[in-house]
Amino acid sequence: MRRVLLVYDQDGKFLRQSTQWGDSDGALMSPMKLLADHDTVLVLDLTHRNTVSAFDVDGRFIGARYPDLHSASAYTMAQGRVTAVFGQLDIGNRPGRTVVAIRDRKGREIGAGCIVADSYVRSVASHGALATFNASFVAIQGNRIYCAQAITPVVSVLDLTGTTVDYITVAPPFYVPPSDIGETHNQKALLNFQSKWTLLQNFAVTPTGFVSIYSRYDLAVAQFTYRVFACDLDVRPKNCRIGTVPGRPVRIVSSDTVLSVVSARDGNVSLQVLSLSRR
Amino acid sequence: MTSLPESGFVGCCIVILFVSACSASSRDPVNASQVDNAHGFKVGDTIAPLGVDCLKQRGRVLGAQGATQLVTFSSPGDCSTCMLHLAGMEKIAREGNGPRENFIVSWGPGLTLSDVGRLYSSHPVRDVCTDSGGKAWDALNLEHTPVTVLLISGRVALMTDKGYGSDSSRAHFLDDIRLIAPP
Repeated sequence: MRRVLLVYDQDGKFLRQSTQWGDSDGALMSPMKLLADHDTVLVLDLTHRNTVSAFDVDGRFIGARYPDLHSASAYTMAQGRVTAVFGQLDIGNRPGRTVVAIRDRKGREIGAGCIVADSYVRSVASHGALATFNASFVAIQGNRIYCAQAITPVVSVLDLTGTTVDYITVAPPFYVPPSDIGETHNQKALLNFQSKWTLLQNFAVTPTGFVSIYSRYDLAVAQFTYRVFACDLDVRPKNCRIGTVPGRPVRIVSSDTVLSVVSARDGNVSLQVLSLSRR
Repeated sequence: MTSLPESGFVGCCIVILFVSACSASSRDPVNASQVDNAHGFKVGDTIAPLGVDCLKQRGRVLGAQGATQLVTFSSPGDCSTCMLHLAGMEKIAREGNGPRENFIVSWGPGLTLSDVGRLYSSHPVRDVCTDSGGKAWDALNLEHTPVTVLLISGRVALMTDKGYGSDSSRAHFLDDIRLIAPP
């Protein structure tokens, strides 16, 4: 894998490679997330010195920040006044068990929010398997931060200071809450575990709400099944929809559309679109 | 009278060194552990002979004594990017290269032989087998699939989870197999 930043024009024509592999300023070692707005490209590099590197649109290195990230933390990045939001599951270090630190462009913390579910805390205390899942899903839309966790259907909506401004506690009808087992990496134990509860697999916000994709190992068909739970938050009462994703989801396109990869009996693989009609 | 054995011994050493030098100049030594992920076992671990149910061949024994087998462990939860590994191994089989015994062993909760026929329909050349009860998963403490092993009498002689999308990568992998288990 080439761990470099490649710059293309709007027609997809390759323009230049702007970085090299390495751990010096402007180089990339293990890039995990990229965010581009109209004049800046931010790259999150999770290495021994976790880095957020900024480049201009031509790929020229502007500068880097070294936020205090837990190595196993979930993460995301945001646009506008807030440039980086990181889910931190290192709950022992934070009163109130906050999992999201909100930082300004200079890396200073300006807020924090999103409370860890009690089941996660119990799992950490008892060295359970629930705590080994990457249990924070954080996203931003406009001036709102959305926080979900794999072990609860709860979605909290925060403002940029971390204050909760909305709270969605409605579980989708197919949701099965987890019961914990001891921490393990054994695949057999984990697959058996995942056949007993519904795991939040993917989470995205849209201009009108959020879309969650849940997975569960379905014993009836001996494979993972994926279901969608999408809610509009800009209407009252909140409008939520569900659907089943054909195959394996790869991208949430919008509040109504999910792209997935489907394997056919003849061995061919196709991309399919799931549309969730509004009520 | 006592010089003959000594000179014979020296000559033997020279021959051995020469052969060794020729091998070293043609390619690097085989890396028997070609993995990016942790899989719960390592090269040198063994699995006792284990009967598996297969779509094509009846009575197949995983880890059979005296057998050289190229076996991919896979589960219904394999990640989408890991499909490259399965596709590469299928291509090796389709090209008619590698060990004659070349098959997939799959396990998942409730997984049946008819399920694997559906789940692995895109791998028509390699035989696909189920490990009822996940005994191989227990024996090797499998953590992450897919992973492919070269088993010689049940001993893991080589393990890999690479993609093998290119002709050269597959050729290099087959060279490794030939060096470890000459045909």
